[in-house]
Amino acid sequence: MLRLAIRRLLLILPTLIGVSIVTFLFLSYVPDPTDDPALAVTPSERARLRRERFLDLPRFVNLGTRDVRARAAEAMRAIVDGDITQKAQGQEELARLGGAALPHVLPALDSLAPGPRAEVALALAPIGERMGFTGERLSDPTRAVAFWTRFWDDRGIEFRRASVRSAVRRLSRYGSTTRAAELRELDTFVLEDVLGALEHPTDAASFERARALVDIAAYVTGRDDRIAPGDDYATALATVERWGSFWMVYKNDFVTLDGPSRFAAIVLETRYGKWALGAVTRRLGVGFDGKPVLDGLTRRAPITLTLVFGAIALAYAAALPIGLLGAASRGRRRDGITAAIVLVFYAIPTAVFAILAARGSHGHGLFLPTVVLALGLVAAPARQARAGLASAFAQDHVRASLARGASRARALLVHALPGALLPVVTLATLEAPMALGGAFVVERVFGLEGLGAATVVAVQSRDTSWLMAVSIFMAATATIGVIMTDLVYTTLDPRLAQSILRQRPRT
Amino acid sequence: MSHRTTVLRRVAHSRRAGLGAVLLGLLVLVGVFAELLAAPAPLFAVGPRGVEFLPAIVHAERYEQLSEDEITRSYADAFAVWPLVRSGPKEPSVAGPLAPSSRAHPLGTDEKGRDLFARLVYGARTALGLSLVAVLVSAVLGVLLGGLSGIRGGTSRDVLVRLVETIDTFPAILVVALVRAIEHEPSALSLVLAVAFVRWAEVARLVHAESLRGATEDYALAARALGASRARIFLRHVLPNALGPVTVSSVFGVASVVLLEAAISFLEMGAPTSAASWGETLAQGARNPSALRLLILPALLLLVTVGGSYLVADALRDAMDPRAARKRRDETYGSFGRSADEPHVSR
Repeated sequence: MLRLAIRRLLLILPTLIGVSIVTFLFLSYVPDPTDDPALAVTPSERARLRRERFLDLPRFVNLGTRDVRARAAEAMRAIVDGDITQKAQGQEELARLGGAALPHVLPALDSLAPGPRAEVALALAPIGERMGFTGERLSDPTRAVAFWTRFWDDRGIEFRRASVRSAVRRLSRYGSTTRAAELRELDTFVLEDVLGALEHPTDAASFERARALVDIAAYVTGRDDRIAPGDDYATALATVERWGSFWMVYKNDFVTLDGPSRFAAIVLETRYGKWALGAVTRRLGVGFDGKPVLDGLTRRAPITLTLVFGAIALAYAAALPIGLLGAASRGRRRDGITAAIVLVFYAIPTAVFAILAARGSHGHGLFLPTVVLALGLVAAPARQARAGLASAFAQDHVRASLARGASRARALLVHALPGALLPVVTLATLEAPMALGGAFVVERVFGLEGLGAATVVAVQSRDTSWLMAVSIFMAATATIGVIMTDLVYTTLDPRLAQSILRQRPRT
Repeated sequence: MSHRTTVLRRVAHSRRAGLGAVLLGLLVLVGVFAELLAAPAPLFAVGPRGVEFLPAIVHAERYEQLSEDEITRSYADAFAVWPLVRSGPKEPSVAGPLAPSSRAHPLGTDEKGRDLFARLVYGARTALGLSLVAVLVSAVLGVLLGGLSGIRGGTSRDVLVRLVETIDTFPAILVVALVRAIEHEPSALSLVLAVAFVRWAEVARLVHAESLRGATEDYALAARALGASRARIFLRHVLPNALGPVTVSSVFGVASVVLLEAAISFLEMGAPTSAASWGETLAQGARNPSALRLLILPALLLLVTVGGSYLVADALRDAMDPRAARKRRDETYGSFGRSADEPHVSR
């Protein structure tokens, strides 16, 4: 029994991944708000927006990831072979890639003809200025070539991951301006370690560390998003989060992929990969309200789950006596009237009851909404219980108990009920998804801050992170519900345990 | 007497089925002949432009441009037979929003000034049309896929069982939300597909269960021994048995899909806003507490539709249940009272 439960729980994970892949494929066709042709932006701005929302990446498999090596080589080719505009673009790109591109550009300088070599060296001037070589007159072609050749001979040894990592560690441990300047001299080459060492500021020491690291990152990328000395922790945290998003998008501009990371990039450098990474590391991604989706989910889910499961529990608590009554008085007027009332409650939409109830009351508890939602859920289990009990009466063991002189109530409750409960329990899993639709309606009418309200808003604003999260959450809840039903099943009828262990025949 | 004849006879004798069928049939008629009940143009006109028959349908695009007054004037000197209410469900009338009932608008107008009677009449078309199509599509899909798993077995069956289990427990309202997020313009077709996408799993589950059960029956084994292929056994011996539960589940499905459509429209994620829908009228009723009719009337219509299909389905299910039939004959049964629906069926 326990093994069954554990095995089924483990099976949830592949199911959820499957659900997330299908939902993601589905939602990848959502028209992105930033992709609207009516939006008035320049082409480069649009390209930036698309990139920041990962729209330039393939959905599931990316075989042509471009890291800093590829990008630098392309920029050099543009400077060497291109026309005027391509040259300008190449120069701009090389300046943006910065120090991270130097290990790929400088060794290649020697193999170029003197003319192109000077052009490339000139394009590196902005990087040199950022590194602090302002006095070297890097805008002079001959001096620039000489400087960069010498630079690589002297300082090339500093462009190594291990040394940068220890420098960053030292900076965050001791924190001094000279160490910061040391890191700045390597320009964007340090970004991977600097942003990797960035942590959420929670106390004065970690705040200072984050501030120093963000300062370096802001300096080398020219992206002016810093933590001011007097900021509170919330503002600082938001800044750190923004840098995290930045790194998620632009990582490949500053990192050389080789070995395993190149293979990982096939999956990770895709829209699904980016979403999954964000979901795992950054609380299910960031919704349109700028807050992590998981926070909204944890705040809203209890309300909806209370509504749904509370209503189902209430409905079953009412349905069993009604079913008993119906089965015991089958064929009499009382049975017909009960059935009719239950049917009317089922057939009148939840919205009507909700509106009437909301008008009559002014309380803000969850009890009234739950009752309203439960009204429509009584019919199916009541009908099922009545049918099950009625057929249980005809069974020999019930007849035998009657013959032995048991009262009708005892025959009903003790002998007929357990067997008749099985199909009613199965029904519970199927009622939950139906109840959710009603819960959305009830939430809207009563103005509750549940999943429904947020989902309707997410549909209108096309917030895919929320829709993804809520789908997976629902699938998980439903699967857990199925497992719990199975467990109840095996408790009610141990004979079924074997067949459920192998497969689930749900009839 | 064959099983089918027995079932049909039982259904025909059932009072519940009769009541349900009458209610549902009336609404289907209203939905099909909505134009005869409420339309901006006459049903039939003989005038200067010759004989016109249902001009509002034949020349729909012309009449959508015209206001009520213009249409009335254009038929001023013609002999015309008008529908019960002279306005369509889409155009706001001159009476203005939330007008009380009058001769031109027997049930008044809604929040946007459209005739409520026309809205409700065309709402029947939306609700029943959507749910019938969705249920049919899902029944076909479910029988196909469930049958496939019944025929093939092995890994594909396991995958299908897992798939059915996941989809069957996935809330329909979320699928609709996902579909609505994709679309630029909400359409009725996508709503049908979204609902069918969720519902087919239930049908497939039923068919699959029946094929599991049927495969061990003697007649299936006998057919197998005679050399019949699995597909033939499924089609000739398993599927006919499965059609009963599938029919019952589909008729129940109509009830639940009508309710679902109302809920979706209530949340403003439903059919296109121009299309009439009872759920949309309910949402207006929620916003306008003074106009109680916006709440009561669609609720009554929903009650009739859902209740009608529920009664039919319930009677069908009872009629098809062989155990229930045996039980009715059973003497013991008398101690708990007689069967409710058909006290005197001759056998």
